[in-house]
Amino acid sequence: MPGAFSGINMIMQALMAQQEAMQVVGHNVANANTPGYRRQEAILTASHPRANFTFMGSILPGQFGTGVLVDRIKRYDTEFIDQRYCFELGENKRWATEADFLNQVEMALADTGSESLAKRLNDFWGGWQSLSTSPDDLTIRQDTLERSKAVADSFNRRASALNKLRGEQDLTIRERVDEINELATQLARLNVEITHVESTNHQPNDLLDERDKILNRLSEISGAKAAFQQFGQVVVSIGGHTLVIGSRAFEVTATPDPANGNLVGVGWQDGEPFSPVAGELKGLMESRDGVVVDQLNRLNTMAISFMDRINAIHITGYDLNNVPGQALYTGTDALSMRINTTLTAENLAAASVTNAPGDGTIAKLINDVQRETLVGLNNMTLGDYNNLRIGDLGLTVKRSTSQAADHKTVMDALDQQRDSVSGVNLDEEATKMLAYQKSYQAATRMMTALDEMLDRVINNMGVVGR
Amino acid sequence: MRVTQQMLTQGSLTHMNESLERLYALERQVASGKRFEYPSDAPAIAAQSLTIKASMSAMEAYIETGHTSQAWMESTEFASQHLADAALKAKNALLQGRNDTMGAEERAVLAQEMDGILKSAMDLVNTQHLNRYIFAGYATRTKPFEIIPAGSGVPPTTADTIQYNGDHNIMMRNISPDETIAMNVDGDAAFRPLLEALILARDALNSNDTTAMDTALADMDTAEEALTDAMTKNGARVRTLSDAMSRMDMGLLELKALLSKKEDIDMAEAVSNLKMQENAYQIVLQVSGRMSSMMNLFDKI
Repeated sequence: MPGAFSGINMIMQALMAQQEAMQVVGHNVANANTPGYRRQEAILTASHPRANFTFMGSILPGQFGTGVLVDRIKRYDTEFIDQRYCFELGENKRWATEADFLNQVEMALADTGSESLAKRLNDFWGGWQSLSTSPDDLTIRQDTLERSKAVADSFNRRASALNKLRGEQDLTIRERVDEINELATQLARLNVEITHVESTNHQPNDLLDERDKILNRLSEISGAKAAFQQFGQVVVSIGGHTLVIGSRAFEVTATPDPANGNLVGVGWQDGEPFSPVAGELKGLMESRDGVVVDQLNRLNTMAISFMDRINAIHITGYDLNNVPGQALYTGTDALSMRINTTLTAENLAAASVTNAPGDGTIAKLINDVQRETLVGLNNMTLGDYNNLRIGDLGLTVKRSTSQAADHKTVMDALDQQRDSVSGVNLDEEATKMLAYQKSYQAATRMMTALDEMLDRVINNMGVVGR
Repeated sequence: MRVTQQMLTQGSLTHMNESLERLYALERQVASGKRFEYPSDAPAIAAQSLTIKASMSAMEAYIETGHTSQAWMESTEFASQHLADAALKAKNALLQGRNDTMGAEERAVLAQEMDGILKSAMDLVNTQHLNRYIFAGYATRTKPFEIIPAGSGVPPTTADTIQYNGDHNIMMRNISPDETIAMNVDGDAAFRPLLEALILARDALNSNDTTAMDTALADMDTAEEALTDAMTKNGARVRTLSDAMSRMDMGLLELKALLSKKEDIDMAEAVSNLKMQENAYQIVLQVSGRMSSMMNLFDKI
């Protein structure tokens, strides 16, 4: 038979448990809009029952309940969704970063605008066509020279814009590398704290939220993968190389690479190459060293083939003053390509023989180059090669954009699924709040009843005849 | 499914964004009238439109230079026509002079006339088009025909001679990618016989020499043949050129239509799409607004 005071104790425990549960509801409501927050719940459980006494040789009915306890604070976690979410997040960020960057490339190349390279080339052919018909007209000569210069300018501007864009990517890459190192340090510290809390049999719920946020961000930047171990420890790796294990974080370095025009190369502190499989860094590095370099190479190939072919024809001709033609262009690639600055309008070698101001044979041959398939351009004409370059870039941008969108769709669906489990629903919290409040009220009433019972025993019992 | 507050707000945000993005894309299309701004908007069409533009640009260049060649050839036609008239006039004068009833004095008058015809013929064979001599071959800056007076040279010549300073090159001009046309006529071959016949005729009339007049008459016939030959050729070329140009004009028109079909939006369709998207956006806004102002249980207890 329980003693009278054990009832008071039990109710006190009940009051405390309801208060604690209420606290958790408050925490949930407070964090209803906190990104990365997983809802928590106080798991109430009946405390250990007690057997009844034997009274005067007979066993009394039992066991007696002893009230309620908060067993633990549960965190609604969705580990398997988290992992898939992180994967999709990394892929989405990779493609989205690439798409953003390539959009800038497309803008810089301006291949469909009125100032496009294709337009400049068309003008060039048109100029030499006019010159072939009126080789002795100085106005047309001047115009053709200007058009020839515009082609060189057009190549220059595009090559330098691409180089500039590559340089700008560097800053972002450095920032991201710094961020990885910062996050890795934080994560290593969290590993220690979480293990400490778990080993004392508590739930480090909010620390886990913080950890998951860091893991998300790491996937976003570099497609990092996490493996969970005992006591809440997490091992993180990027592209097969460990970033964080236990309390240890490995550093990622960004140093200028002389072999790549002093753009930063990313590596591990131990000298291994850093090769992310997804994430912003993958997108940045892939577009910086892949697509843009490809575009630059193609521009260079075009510029070289163009210069070589035009120069080769031009030097076989004669200008208005019967002087053999000079090279029309100088330079070795799209960036260094220049019109030969010593040339004046009279020096354009339109004629194939001397003393023939009316001869436009060479000008006609130059105009014919637009229909020639050039070996340097995989047996394509300049126009076709340029179109292919533009088309390929367009397709790459389109692919990046749609890949990003596809992964975002999956990501959003996973996020919803996860939120459905671990997000805060205010109606639910309000209901729980009501339940705990009512329980608390009932417990206080119970306390009053017990108090009155004890009052009866203590103050009013055995006072007969007093 | 358990729905949470974050899912609601996130969902409205995503939908508003997506709707606005579509609206923006359509607005850009309507404003620019183009189906794409960057190649990535429509890679295949962009490449096609660039090819079409290159063909158009080449055609425009051919049409433009075609006009230049045409003007040149019209000058040729004009000059040869007048030379033919002069030749006819000269022949009539010579026939008149050859008449046995003519005396030396009358023939001298006719010789005067013949000299005038020669002078104007010299002007015609040295015709310039835009400051270029059209009958000098490639040497467009050199006056092609000159009369070397009798008595010069070693040994001294007995009569005036014609000197041709140009060359015999034929200017070939592209009128389309695979078609070339000769723009000029060889002045020496076409006009020298006439000029020489004129000199001979004038001198024969002057010297009252009927035998020489007969020779001059025969020469005149040969000269007319050479002239007619050049004129016929030139005329045929003018026709070829104008055919090619009208073909090119039509081709250009077709390409323009094709380009417009590739690049330009159907305005009516685009505007109605825009209108529809505007409505869709309004609805998304309304729903989102209602959702975010929706009460939860906390407001009721």
